[in-house]
Formats: sequence, structure tokens, C-alpha cells
Amino acid sequence: MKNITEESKHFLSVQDMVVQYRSEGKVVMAVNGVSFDLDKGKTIGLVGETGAGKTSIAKAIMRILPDHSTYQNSGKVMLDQEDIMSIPEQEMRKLRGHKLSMIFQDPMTALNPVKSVAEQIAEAVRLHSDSNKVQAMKRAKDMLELVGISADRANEYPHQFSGGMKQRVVIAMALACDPMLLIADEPTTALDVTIQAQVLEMINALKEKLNTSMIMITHDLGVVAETCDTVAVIYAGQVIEYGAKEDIFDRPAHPYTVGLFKALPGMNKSSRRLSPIVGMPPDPTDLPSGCSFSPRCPYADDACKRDAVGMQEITPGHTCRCLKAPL
Amino acid sequence: MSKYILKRILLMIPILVGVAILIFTLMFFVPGDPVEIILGSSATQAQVETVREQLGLNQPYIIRLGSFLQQLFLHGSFGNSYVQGTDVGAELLTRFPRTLILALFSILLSMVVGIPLGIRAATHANSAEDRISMFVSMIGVSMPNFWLALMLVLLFALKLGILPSSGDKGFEYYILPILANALGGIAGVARLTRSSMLEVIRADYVSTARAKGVSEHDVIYKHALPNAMIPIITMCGGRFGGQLGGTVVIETVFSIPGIGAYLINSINNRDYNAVQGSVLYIAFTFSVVMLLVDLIYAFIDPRIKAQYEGHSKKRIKRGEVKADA
Ligand SMILES: Nc1ncnc2c1ncn2[C@@H]1O[C@H](COP(=O)(O)OP(=O)(O)OP(=O)(O)O)[C@@H](O)[C@H]1O
Ligand SMILES: [Mg+2]
Repeated sequence: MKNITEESKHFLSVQDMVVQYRSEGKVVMAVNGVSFDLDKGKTIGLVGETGAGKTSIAKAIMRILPDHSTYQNSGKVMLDQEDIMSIPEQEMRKLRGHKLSMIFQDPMTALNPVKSVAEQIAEAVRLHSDSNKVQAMKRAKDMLELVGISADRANEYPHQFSGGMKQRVVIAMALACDPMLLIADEPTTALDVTIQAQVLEMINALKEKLNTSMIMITHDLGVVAETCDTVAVIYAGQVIEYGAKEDIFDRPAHPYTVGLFKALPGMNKSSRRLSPIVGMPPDPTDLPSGCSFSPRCPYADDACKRDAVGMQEITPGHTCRCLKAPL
Repeated sequence: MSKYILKRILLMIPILVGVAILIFTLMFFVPGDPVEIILGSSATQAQVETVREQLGLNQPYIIRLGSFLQQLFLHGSFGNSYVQGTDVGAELLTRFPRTLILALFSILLSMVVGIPLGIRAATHANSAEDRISMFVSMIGVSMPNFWLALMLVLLFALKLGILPSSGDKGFEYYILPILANALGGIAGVARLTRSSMLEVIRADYVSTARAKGVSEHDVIYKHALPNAMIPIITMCGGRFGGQLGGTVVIETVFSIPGIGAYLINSINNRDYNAVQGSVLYIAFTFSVVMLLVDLIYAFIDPRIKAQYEGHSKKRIKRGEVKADA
């Protein structure tokens, strides 16, 4: 079912992704029509506050949203010319961990406490290659060495590792089958600054070696600066600004993005976390009408609060969801 | 690990001594006289006195306790039953297999049926199927087992006539008792499995397994279930240990001469030696089952195993720990 349209020239193309959860009788509108593209070997950064819907986007691409609480999930994901949202689960399972894989946000809980780390890595290897147990174990140990963990410790269990080492194990697991697309969900937030740099360097090196495409999810603009080619700024489940890293960093157009950079205490200081934009992110069970940033926006007027705002092009390849842009 | 096991086995000795002293003392103060029960109410005062003398019941507490403990720990004997005159230990040994069959198969059946049911309910949480099965299991948990036993007898023994209603002359005699005993267990295990699984299948590592491309069946049975097993093992271990001490109601309804019936009769007859023997047997089997449960924990969860090993091996270097484990 190959379908060569304009978008599918890209290695990955996500179109109109919607994710809604059911929670205590309410519908949580976590992702509301997200679209972006990614080319082979490139990295896109998904940046946004906590609760913006970043992890939900990642899980939706992997098709591992939790059955029990997912209310609705729609959209189209073209990966390497194949619409992976519509293939049968069995086919999708063969791609997961192989063609596309994911590094989970919280290394403390991402590993199964009752299986040795090597076992957990080897499992993925065995599922996606015809290697036997011994070969898979060998590969698992090689992967551990690659992320800087001695193969002697392969048979130890997650509780015997520090947080940073667990994060490395998670990375080794995600990379064990040479994925073509790697989704890294805040791979460094759980780590201290020095380890952060090491881990990022490691991911970058591995990525280059395998020519892997990557979705880097983070709320750390420093990480974006170091790893990404393009950036999508996510706010309340929507892409509100999208473009090359240089566009976003040098010429931010959306008041929210501008706020993000203003909130930084100076790019060479160690603390690069986002936050101080006045007000709170909107409640995903009750999104405001019009632009969802309008309640917090210093430039908003009545027009902003009336109708949904579409994406408009600022310069070629740089788009923004704001009536006032560029400021 | 072997050090831990040894420690636990040694720990059983003071427990058993404590239980021995406690049960002896309790029986000493419990009102009622075995001699009057043996001889009946028509016996003369003199007859009663001679028998008391024979059984050594006239001696003071401390002497009797001493000879009881001596007989128990030096000769490994519980003494003879006052009523039947037979050796209590031998009697317990002949009854033990019956109780074991009943307890073991009940618990196996509870787990083999209850765990998959609970998993199914958890993976289809809030579906009609889940609600119905949880409602049925609610009934199962709250149904008294003597009533269930009688219903089973009515249906399978009297109406259909395919199974015997009482006795213990072959395995078919155990089918109804095991069923009556296990149904409550199945319901309990299913409910516990469901709630335990519901917690575990939301865990991040379950998503990790899915993200690796693990099949749904393996995600549930290989990744989630082992993590959900600890409370289930605890519950089943407790039930099994309890039932090894006899299932009085089931044994009575189906006339199976097991441990439970023996203990109850002995208590009614103030048959001191038999009561003390049975209680010590129960304490012993329960300790053994609890040790097994703890070992199963360690087998399932490496964190628990590390705890056991941690106490004794803090000073030993890593290489040696590995060689030993
Ligand atoms: N299983 C779920 N059931 C109900 N609501 C959920 C569920 N998972 C996420 N949500 C909600 O969806 C929204 C988006 O969550 P998501 O985890 O995608 O955010 P995020 O951008 O990854 O945040 P963070 O930076 O904190 O990781 C949040 O409001 C969250 O509360
Ligand atoms: Mg997240």
C-alpha cells in the first residue's frame, strides 16, 4: 500500500494526531491535531511544558497508548512510506523495538524489576532477529558496553543500578535492534548535569553511526540546542510553532515561544528549565475557545479568543499558530 | 541464600518450644477433666482417682510440663491419646495425607483457575465480562463453604449420582471436598489477581515491553504477572498453611478423617496429648509453609532475594557472593 503524496517524501510524517483520554468521567484532550515531518538521519525536538501532550504523541506513534484509559486516537503516521496507524497490530508489533523504538521518560520505572538487565535487552534482540539465546545475550552485553556499563553486570537486576545507569540500560535496550526511528522521551531529565552531557553525546554518536532519525522530547532548550535540527513547540496538545532550530531560537514568532526564551536565566547558566510565563497551562479537560494560549498571552484580544487559530507561514518552513505573529 | 534458609529453620526451634509451652499451659487451665470423659459420669470417685494417678494428672503443673517437654524433645513423641490409647504422632501421620490432598489440590485448583480468571478480568477491566465475573466471584467469596459442600453433594451425589458423597476410599471421594474447598479460593484468588494486575499493567515497564514488540500474551504473562504475584502468593500460602491444619467443616461434611476432625474431637474430649500434638503439628506445618512462601518470594523478586542475602553478606566481596549464589 505505497502512496506517494507530497508529505510522504519525508521519512516520518505525522498528520492530525489526536489523543483523548477518559479520566473520572471527563475527556482529557491531550493531543489536538499535531502534524510534523522528519527526514532520515535528522532530529526533531518536541518542546513544551509538563502536560503539553509530548509523551502522548510518542505513545500514539508507537501505538502503545493505554487501552484502559484511551478514549480516542486518530491521525495518520507515515513511516518510510507505510501508514503505521492502519496496519494490523501483529505487523505493528514487528516494527516496534525494531524499526522504531522508544526511550522512556522515567528510567526508575521503565525497567522490569524482576528481570535482569541483559535479559530485558536480549528479549528485544530475539524478537526481531533470528539469533538464538546465546547470540542475543552476547548482543545485550555488547550494547551494555556500548553505553558504558561493564558486561560483568549484565546479569544484575535494575535495583542494583543507579538512576543514570538505568537510563543507559533503557537507551541500550532502545538501540539494540538498530532502529530507524528513535523516540527519546526526556532521556536526560532524570540525570545530573555531567551525566546528561555524556548521555546526549552517546545518543548523538549512536545516531550518527546508524543514521537514525530521532524525536527528542524535552522541556530543556539546552538539549534542543545541542541535538535538534527542527523544533516543534507544543502547547496544550497542539504544535504552536514549527521550524528549523535556527528559526525558533533566533526568530521566535509565537508569544509562548518568546516567553520560553525570556524565561531562561541566560543561555550559559546551568539552569535552563522553562517555566516563568504568567498563569497556568490550560486544563486539558476544558480547553479555552480560540487560541489555547490566549488566557496567558499579553497580546491577546477578542479575535484570539473567538475562533481556533490555524498555522500560518512566517518564512518558508517556519510556521506559527498566532494571529499576531510575527511580533 | 542457603544461610538464610538455615537461619529460618533454626528459628523454628524456639517457635515450636514456645508453642509447646503455651498450648500445654492453656490446656492445663482449660476447665474440664479428661478422666471424667473417659470413664463417663457413672464412675466412682476412687476409680477416677486411680486413672488420674495412672495418667500422671495429679502432679503439679511444673512437673507435668517438664515431663511433657522431655518426652517431646528428647523422644520426639506426643504421647498416647487418652481416649483411643494410640500414639498421637502415628495417628497424625495416618491422617496427614488426607489433609494434604485436600489442601494441596484445593490450593492448586484455586490458583490454576483463579489466576487466569483474574487476569482476564483485569485485561478487560470494566467490560461486561469483567463486571459479571467479579459479581459472581463476590458471591463465591461470601458463600459459606458448608452450604456449598451440601449443594455439591445434592447435585453430584444425590441428583446425578456420579460422585460419592462421603468417605475416603479413593481419589474420587476427594473431588467434591476439593471443589467445595476450592471454590471460595478461586473467587478470592481471581479478585486479588485482578486488582494486583490492574496496578501492574499500568506500570511503565509494561509499556516498555510493548514498545519492544513483545506480544500481548507475553506482556501479560511474562512481564506483568510475575510482578503481580507477591500478594497472590501471600494469600495462597496463608490459605494452604491454614488448610494443612485441617478443614474442619469440609472434613466433617464429607466424613474424611483428617487433622481438623481429630483436633476438634480431641478438644471436646480434653484429650491433652492429642490436642498438644495436633497444635504442634499445625505450628510446624505452618512454619514450613511460611518458609516456602518466603523462598518463593525470593525466587520471583530479586529485590527480596537481595534483602535475605543482604543481612548475612554485607561484608563479603562481590565475587564471592556470586560464587555462593
Ligand atoms: N492514561 C492517562 N489517562 C488520563 N489522562 C492522561 C493519561 N496520560 C496522560 N494524561 C493526561 O494527558 C495530558 C498529556 O500528558 P503527557 O504525559 O502526554 O504530557 P507530557 O507533555 O509528556 O508531560 P511531561 O513533560 O510531564 O512528561 C496531561 O494532562 C495528562 O494528565
Ligand atoms: Mg512526558
